[in-house]
Amino acid sequence: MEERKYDVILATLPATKTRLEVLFRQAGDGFLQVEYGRVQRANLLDSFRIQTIDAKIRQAAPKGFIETLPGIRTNMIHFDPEQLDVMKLIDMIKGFEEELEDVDHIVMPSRVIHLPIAFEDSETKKAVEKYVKEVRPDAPNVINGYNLEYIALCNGITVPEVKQKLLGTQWYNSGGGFWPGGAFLWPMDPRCAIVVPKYNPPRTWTPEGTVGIGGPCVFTYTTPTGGGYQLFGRTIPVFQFAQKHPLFKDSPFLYRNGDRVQFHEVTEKEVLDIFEHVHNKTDYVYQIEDGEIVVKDYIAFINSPEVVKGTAEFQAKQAEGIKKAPRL
Amino acid sequence: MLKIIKPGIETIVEDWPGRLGYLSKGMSASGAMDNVSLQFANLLVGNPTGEAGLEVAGGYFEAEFMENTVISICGTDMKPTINGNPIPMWEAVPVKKGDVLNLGVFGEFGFRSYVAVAGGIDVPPYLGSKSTCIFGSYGGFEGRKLAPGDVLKFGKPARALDTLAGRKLKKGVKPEFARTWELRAIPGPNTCPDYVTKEGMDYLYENEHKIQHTSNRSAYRIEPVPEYFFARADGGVGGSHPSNIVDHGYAIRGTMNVCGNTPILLIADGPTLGGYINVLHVINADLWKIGQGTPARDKFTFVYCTREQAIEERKKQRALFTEDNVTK
Amino acid sequence: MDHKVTATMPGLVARVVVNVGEKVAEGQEVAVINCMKTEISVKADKPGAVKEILVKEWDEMQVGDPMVVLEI
Repeated sequence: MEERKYDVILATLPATKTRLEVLFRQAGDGFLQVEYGRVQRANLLDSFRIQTIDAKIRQAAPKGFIETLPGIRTNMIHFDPEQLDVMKLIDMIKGFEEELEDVDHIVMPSRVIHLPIAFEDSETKKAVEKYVKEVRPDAPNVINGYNLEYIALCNGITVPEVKQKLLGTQWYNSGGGFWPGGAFLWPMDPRCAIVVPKYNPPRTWTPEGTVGIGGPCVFTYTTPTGGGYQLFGRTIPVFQFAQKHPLFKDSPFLYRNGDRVQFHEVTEKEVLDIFEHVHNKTDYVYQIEDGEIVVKDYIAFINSPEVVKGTAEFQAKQAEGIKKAPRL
Repeated sequence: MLKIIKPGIETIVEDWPGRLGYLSKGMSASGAMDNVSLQFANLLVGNPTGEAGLEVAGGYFEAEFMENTVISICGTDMKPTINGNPIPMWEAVPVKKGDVLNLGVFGEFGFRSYVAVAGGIDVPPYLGSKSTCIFGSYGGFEGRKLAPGDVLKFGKPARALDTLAGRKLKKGVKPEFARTWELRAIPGPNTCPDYVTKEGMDYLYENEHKIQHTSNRSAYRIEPVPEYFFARADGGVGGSHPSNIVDHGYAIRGTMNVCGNTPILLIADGPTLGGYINVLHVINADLWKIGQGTPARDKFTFVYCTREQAIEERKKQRALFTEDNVTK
Repeated sequence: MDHKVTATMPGLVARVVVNVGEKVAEGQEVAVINCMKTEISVKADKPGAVKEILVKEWDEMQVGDPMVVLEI
């Protein structure tokens, strides 16, 4: 007993040719974490699988099931343990896993949302200033009053290259969380996969619309809040509590799981104008296209010689960069 | 109706179990920090036990009733008075139009007190709950803490007011308050040997942990963990600090997140997903004790608990909120 | 006669906003305590002149701890 006291893996499914080992981790009396593989990685193929299984879990919704909270390589299941036995829940998910064909048969619905961004705008600069003044005066991630140079340093590239990588790929939403209306966005093109450490300790304030990155994820802040991501700049509203704008009439949330975001560089003035047209005049027209992700095609893209070569070159630069960048 | 004269440090409208089902939209459940006291308070005035009441943190609260009703006050003892005359807690007390309720004293044991009114507090539910999320500024009364001059409406009482007065809890039913709060906790999902050393887990379970002054409805922080806590050097692609992980869903309410070197209990209004490890989970039946923990004064200890025990404790706790425990 | 203005909340002293010798009115803010990431005002409960300041920034306060001495 003493030896196994901190064992938390309740069950596993072995790895197959096309699937990682699945770990079912205890996460309290009303939560179960389903984890894919034992290695920290950000691989969209894991998310395509998780989203597909997640849809089956939500559709089955056995008595006592409350909700799911998918991440890029994990899913958190929330349930009432008086009504739903965790081992039965695990058996159900195991069943869905066994039924699912290879991941490359998946075709999933996925919209493309076009979002403008103003890099290093004055409002997000204030958030960095406030952090240095009130939280961590010696913050090594603040260089020339902002985080862009630190992001560049960590990845062994220049600031213009950092911007190009943010603009040069679509960012896939593996699921919302962290804050109302938020989404965790991952690069579809592995050549643009920037990685940075998060603030330590976190910020106490970040303005609405801030675009930041922490680890490998981009996040667009939906309302003013704290947070730990390194900052790029500011985009337009992606959430509206008051539900005044027609797009938000049925739901205050813009993002859906599986959406892709494409950023486009604009001036700070343009971003501020759009804020006005979303929140006050409520006549801004969001650019959203319907679409799908054909996993087979995506696998062919990431395995193409050009992408493989470019990814390896960028990773070599990152390995040098992270050696030089200060720890937070 | 109730008119707020002095709102004290933080008085908000909360119900139970709060806003369930929006974790993946980034909305944690909010809800009463001490749900046991709120549920007893509701029981005594004949409400459904999850009905919305007032959560008063820290005391210094005063309000005037604009109609006759029956109230009950449960939680920390803030020496409640009506028109300057002491009134009992944990008991249904009739009040008249013009009566002034005062919760004037900072509680000696515990931090939050709940005021339930026959019929409940009538605010519009937002996404299925009347609970306030003060950090997200939504739900409850205009999404904020109460201010002087605010007027709250009451719902329709379930029973005749004259049948309610004098209802109190049977002897031995009232929960025990303390300065050191024993929180039963289940390890996981990130423990040893992969994330935390056995000594690190032992450290959490075998020591008292002072509650930091920054603790609030999102997060209760305790003192930083020692050097030997982490079983790994970094978080891989999740980030450079060993507390980093590829972003995953948080088992909120009740999970212990380690952010940098600081352990944080994520509760009512906390973030639902992020990039830090989660090492243990305070059982559902003990969540109320976190809410009574006084920042900068009280301490927590963590007592090892299994899932099976936690489910038993849920059942026992739920059985408390029944007419069997009420007497006149 | 000396009168002590005491802390109304546990927390850390964010700042003292009066100086020795300064006259304060009843209800005037004399110090600020930081708790729950909120700034909580500590007010003089009697009028008087500030005789002594007993706390400094980041000191931990408990309810009832003296913060400022007033000559009343």
